[in-house]
Amino acid sequence: MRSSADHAATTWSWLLSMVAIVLLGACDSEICARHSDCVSGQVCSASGACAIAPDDASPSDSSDGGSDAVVIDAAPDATTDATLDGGP
Amino acid sequence: MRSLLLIMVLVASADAESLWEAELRLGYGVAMGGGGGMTSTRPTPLTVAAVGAVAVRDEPYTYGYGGLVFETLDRNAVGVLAGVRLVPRDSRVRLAGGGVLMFAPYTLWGATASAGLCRGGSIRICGDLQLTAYFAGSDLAAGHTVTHLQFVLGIVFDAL
Repeated sequence: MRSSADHAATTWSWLLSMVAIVLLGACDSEICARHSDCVSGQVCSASGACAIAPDDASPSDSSDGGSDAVVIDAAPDATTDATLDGGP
Repeated sequence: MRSLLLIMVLVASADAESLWEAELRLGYGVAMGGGGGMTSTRPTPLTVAAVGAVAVRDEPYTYGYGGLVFETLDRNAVGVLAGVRLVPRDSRVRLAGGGVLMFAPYTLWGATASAGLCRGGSIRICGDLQLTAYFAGSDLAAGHTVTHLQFVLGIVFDAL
C-alpha cells in the first residue's frame, strides 16, 4: 500500500517536472499577464504587452512608486533640459 | 538496556505525526498566463514561504496551515496563505489545498493545490509540485489569469 502510493506520487512528480522543464524552455518573457511582470513605471495591457502607465490607468494600489518615475521621465524632459541647459 | 533504548527511539520516530509543524518553502517554476486571446509562459518569481501548521484531525492526518509568502528575484511582493494538508496514513505523500492573497504592492487572489513527498524524521526535506491559479486582484492585467506550476522544496520542523 505504502509503496504503490509513493510510486504513483513519484511518477506524477517526475512527469510534471518534465512538463515544467519543457515549459521553462519555451518561456516568452515578453508577454505579461501581471502588472508586476513589467518594469517599474509600466503596466500590463489587455493585449499582454507592457506599456507606460498613464496616471489614471495605473493599478489601484498606490504603493508602487513606479508611476511617479514615468511622469518625471515622460513629459517634462524637453522643458526641464532646456531650462537647465539654458541657465548658466 | 541498549536494546530497550533502541526500541524506544524507533517507536518515537516511526511515522509519528507531530501536532505542530513549521516549514520553510522555496518555490520556482513556470507561470502560464491566459487572456486576451493569447497565452504566455514565463518563469515564476522565486516564492519563499514561512508556514506554520497544526494538526486538526488524525484519520487521515489533517493539518490546518497558514503563513507568509514572499515573491522575489524579479519583483518584491508579500502575501498570506492558508489551507489544509492531508497526510495519508502509512504514506510519505502529502496533499494540500488552500488560498493565497498577495496584498503588497498589488493585490492578487489565488487558489493553490500541491502534492509531494517528505523524507526524514523530526526535520524533514519535502518536495512538492504546486499549482496556483491567480484569478483576481489589482496585479492582474484586464481579462487575464495566471497559473503557477512550481517545484517547491520544503524543510519541515516538528514543533511538538
